[in-house]
Amino acid sequence: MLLYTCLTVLTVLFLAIATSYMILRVVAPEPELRKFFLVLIILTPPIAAFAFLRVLFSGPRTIPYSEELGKIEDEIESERATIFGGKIMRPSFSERWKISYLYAIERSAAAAAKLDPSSFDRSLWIGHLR
Amino acid sequence: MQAAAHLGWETGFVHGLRMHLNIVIPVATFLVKVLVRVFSRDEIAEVLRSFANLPLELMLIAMSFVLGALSGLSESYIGKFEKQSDADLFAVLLIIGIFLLSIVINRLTRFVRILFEKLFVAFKQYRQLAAQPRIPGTVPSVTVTGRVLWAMAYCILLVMMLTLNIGISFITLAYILHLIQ
Repeated sequence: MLLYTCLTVLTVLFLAIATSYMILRVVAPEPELRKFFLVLIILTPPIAAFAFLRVLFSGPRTIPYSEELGKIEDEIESERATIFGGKIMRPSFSERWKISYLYAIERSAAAAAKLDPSSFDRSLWIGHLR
Repeated sequence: MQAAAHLGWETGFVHGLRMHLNIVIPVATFLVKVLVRVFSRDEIAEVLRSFANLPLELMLIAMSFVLGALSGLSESYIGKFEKQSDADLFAVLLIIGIFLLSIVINRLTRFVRILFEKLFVAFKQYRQLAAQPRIPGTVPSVTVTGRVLWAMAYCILLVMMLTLNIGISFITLAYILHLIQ
């Protein structure tokens, strides 16, 4: 999940800079518009950096894993391998999703245990993970 | 008078092409590829699939420009450095850089191809399931909507990967052209 978020930040940053550059070239003779887009260009990298750091330290919100959607992805992947040849992707998208969701639960459980170790029942969390 | 105006337009057009080689080269490469495949009577799916290889081909074109500069074909490239040895060393570093970026692009291209295939299969399965008769008034099952959801996820990833892939190769080619022009 972190990889996809990083990719999103990178893509947004790249698109913003490329678009701003093209717009700047087109609106070069108009100083007011030029100033406006310059502000946008200057602001874009810090915003992207902030988003990246926030993701890095707070972690992205994980979408709860759905067994049915996971199965559908596995069906799509196995038919893809049959039609186009080649190996089945390991870990598949659904496996990655499941792992990241379980990891997020584990992390939140660890955080909860840190906050109040006396009221934390580890066996309950482990049962939930299974 | 008319002939002079005609020539002016042509000269302007050629000048425009020369000034925007970073756009002309990818477009020309893609068009030539498509034309060759169309004249060879390849399947449309094959023609479209070959589009995924364009970024890697642009990197190879960029590398051949650097090799040309290294062999002394571009005077403006050598003019940017004080000594010939500096120009040679920088060209070698550029070639190593392009090689490493090509590896990244190749991996991204492979992933783009897998995503494209997954998208194709998701739509194929969706069409098959949607064609089955359904009781009127009932909501479609998760097997149908799930495929649409996955298709959307593949589309988003596909656009991101293609943007990164084409972006890296375009920027590299533009930088090399800026160095040698």
